[in-house]
Amino acid sequence: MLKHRVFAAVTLLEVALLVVLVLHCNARRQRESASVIPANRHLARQLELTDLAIWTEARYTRHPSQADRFAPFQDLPSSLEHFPAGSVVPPPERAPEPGRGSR
Amino acid sequence: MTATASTLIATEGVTKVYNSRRPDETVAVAGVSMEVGQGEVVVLKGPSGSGKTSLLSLVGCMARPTSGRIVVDGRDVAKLAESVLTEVRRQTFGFIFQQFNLIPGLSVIENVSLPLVPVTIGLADMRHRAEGVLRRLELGAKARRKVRQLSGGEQQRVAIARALINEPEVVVADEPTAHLDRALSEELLVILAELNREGRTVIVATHDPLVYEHPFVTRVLAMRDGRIETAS
Amino acid sequence: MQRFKILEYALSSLGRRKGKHLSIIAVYAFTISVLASILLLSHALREEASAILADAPHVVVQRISAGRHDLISTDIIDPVRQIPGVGEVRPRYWGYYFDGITGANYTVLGIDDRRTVELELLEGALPEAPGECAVGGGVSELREAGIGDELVLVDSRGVGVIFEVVGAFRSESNLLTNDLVVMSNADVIEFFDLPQNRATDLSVEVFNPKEVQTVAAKIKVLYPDTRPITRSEIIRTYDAVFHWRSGMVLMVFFSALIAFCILAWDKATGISAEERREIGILKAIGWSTSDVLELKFWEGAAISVTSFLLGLIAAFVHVFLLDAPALAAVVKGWSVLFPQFRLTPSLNLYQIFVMGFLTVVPYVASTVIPSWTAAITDPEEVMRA
Repeated sequence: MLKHRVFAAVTLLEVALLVVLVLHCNARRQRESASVIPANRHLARQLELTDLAIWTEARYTRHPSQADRFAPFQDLPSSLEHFPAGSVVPPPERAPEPGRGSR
Repeated sequence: MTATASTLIATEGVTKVYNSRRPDETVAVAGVSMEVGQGEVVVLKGPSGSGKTSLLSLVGCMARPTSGRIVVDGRDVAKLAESVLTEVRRQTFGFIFQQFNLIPGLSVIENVSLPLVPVTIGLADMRHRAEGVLRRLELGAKARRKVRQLSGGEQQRVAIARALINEPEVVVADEPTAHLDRALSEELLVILAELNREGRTVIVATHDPLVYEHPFVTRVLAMRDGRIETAS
Repeated sequence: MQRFKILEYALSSLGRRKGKHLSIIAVYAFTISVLASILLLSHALREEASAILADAPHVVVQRISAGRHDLISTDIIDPVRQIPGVGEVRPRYWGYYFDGITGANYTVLGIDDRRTVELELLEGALPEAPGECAVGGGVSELREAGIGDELVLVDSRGVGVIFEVVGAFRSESNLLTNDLVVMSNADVIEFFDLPQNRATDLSVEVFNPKEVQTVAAKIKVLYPDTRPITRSEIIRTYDAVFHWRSGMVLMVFFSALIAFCILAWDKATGISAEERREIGILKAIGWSTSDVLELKFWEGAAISVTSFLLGLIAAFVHVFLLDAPALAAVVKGWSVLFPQFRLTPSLNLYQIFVMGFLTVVPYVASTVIPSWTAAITDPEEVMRA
C-alpha cells in the first residue's frame, strides 16, 4: 500500500477520533449542564459556598476568594511559599475601593 | 568562436574558482573554451586535480562558472534562473557520478524513480518507466532490493538507469570505471556505446585508458591544471 | 500529483530512520498531551467554577484586624440590613479543622438548622438536631463514615465530640463538598468556642445584582475595618487561578514548552552531512530548490501533525474520560483530601488552535530552515562539501 495513502488514512482516523471525542464531550456537557451543574449551583446557593474544595492544605488555598493577604505570610513575612498549591493560587483580585484607586 | 549547426554544448573562456579570496583558493578550470557536437562521445582526460570533474560539472549545469559563458542548446545557462536551470539539468542531462550517489536506504526502483518525483507524471507512469529502464539494464528482477544489497557493478547500472529515466539528450559520466574491474568496465562501455548509437551525446571524464582509447570515442580533450592541453 | 509523490518520498525518507522518528513522535506527542491536558483541565475548571458559583452570596463581609481575617460582630447585621437594596443578612459560621488522625484539613460549615432545604446532591438529610452532621465524599471516605455512622472530632478544648452522620454529599458535588463537615450553627459555635455575638463573616443579599458594588462600597464606608467580597470577585478569583497565562497552568505549560524548544533546537542547529549530501544528490538529478524545501516541509509536517493529533487525543482521553489522574497528582500539592476531577467537558477552540500553531509551525520551520542553505546551493558544491 502506498505510504502517502496510509499516512492520509491514519491522519483521517486521528481526526475522526478527535471529532468523536469532541462530540462525546459535547453531549456529556449538554447532559450535565441540564442536571449536574444546576444541582451544584443550587447546593452552593443553599449552603452559601464561596469556593471550590480543591486544595485543602492551607486556608488561603482552600478559600482563595476569601483569603486575606496575611495568611500566606503567617509564619514569617519573608518566608517562601511552602505549600505547593500556594504557588499556583494567585492572591484574589480586589475591586478598586471608592476614592482610593486600585487595590 | 563560431558554433557549428550540430553543436550542442559550447563553453567560452569558462573559469571556476573555489574558495575565492581565501587562503585555500583553487582555480579548478581556467578559461576553457570547447564545443561538444550532437551525437559525439567526448572524453576529458587527465590526472587527478586536472579540472576535468569541475569542467564536467559546469557543462552538466551542476555548478555555475565563476566567469565565462556556457551555451547549452543555444541558451547561456550561466545566466539562467535556478528553476529554469534545474529544468535544463533535468531534461537535457543524465549524470552518472563517480561515487554512484545512490540513496542507500531506498530500493533500486525508488532510486531510479527519484528524478521523476517532482515531475508532473503519475505514480503508475513513473513506476512503469522505471521498470522499463531497469529491464533494459537487466536489473528488472532486483527492482525491490535495497541498493546496498547490490554489487558494485549492479549499483553502477542502477546509477545509469537513474541517469536515463528522464531520457536525456546528453549522458555525462564522471570516472565511471573508477570502482569497477576490467570485465565490468568493458560492460559499462558497451552500454555507453549503445546509448550513443541511440543518438545521445556522451561526455566522460576519466584517466582510464580503457575508456579514452575505446573506438566509440569521438574526441579526447587532455586537461592539465584546469586547461585543455591537447585535443584529439 | 506532484505533491503526493513528494509526500510519498518524504514518508519513505522518514521510514528509513523509523526508530528515531517514532521516538520523536512519542516525545513530541507526550509534550503536547501534557500541554493540552493542562489547557483542557484549566478551561473546564474555569467554566465549571463560573457555573456553579454563579449563585454564591452577593456579598460576603469579613472583618480585618491587623491585616488578618478576624471574627465579625453580629451587631452590625441590622445596620447593614438598613442599607437600601439589601435583603437578608445572615451570619456565617465556618472554620477549619485539622484531623490529626489522617492529616487532612476539613472545612466545618454551619447552617441554620431551621431551614429545610431539598438538595438533590445530598443523600440523607442536612443536620437538624444538635450532634448531627453531613459530610462530603472525601471526609466520608477518609474516615469511613457513612450515613448512620459516627464521626468524632476534637473540639477547641481538646474534647472529642461525637457527631452522627445524617447526610452524605454525592460524588457529583465533590468539587464543592469534598472536605465539608456540615453541622448546625449552634454546634459550630460550641465546637470552636466562638465568642458570643461573633460570626466568621456575614452573607449579604442584594436585591438588584447591579447594585452589588454600591452596597459593598457603602458597607466599607460604614465599617472601615471590614472587607466586603462580592460575587464577581469570587468568580474572578477562579478565573485567575485557572487562566492559562497564570499560576498552575503557566508552570506546567512553561516546562513543557522548554522541553519542546530543546527538541526543536536540536533539529534547527543544522542538518547532518548525510542529509546535506542527499539534498545535493536530489538537486543533481533534477530537483529544484522548491522541490527540496517542499520535501522538508512534508517531513516536518508529517511528524508534527501526527504528534499534535495524537497528543490532543491523549489529552482528551486523560482529562475527560479518565478524570486527569496524572495532572491531579501534580496539581494536588500537599492536600490529603483531593476531589476527583470529574469535570463537565469544555473546549476553548482558540487555545487549541494557538497550541497547534505554536507546536506545528516551529517544528516544520526547524526542519525546513536548516535545509535552506543546502537547497539553494549548486549541487556540485553541496556534494563536494
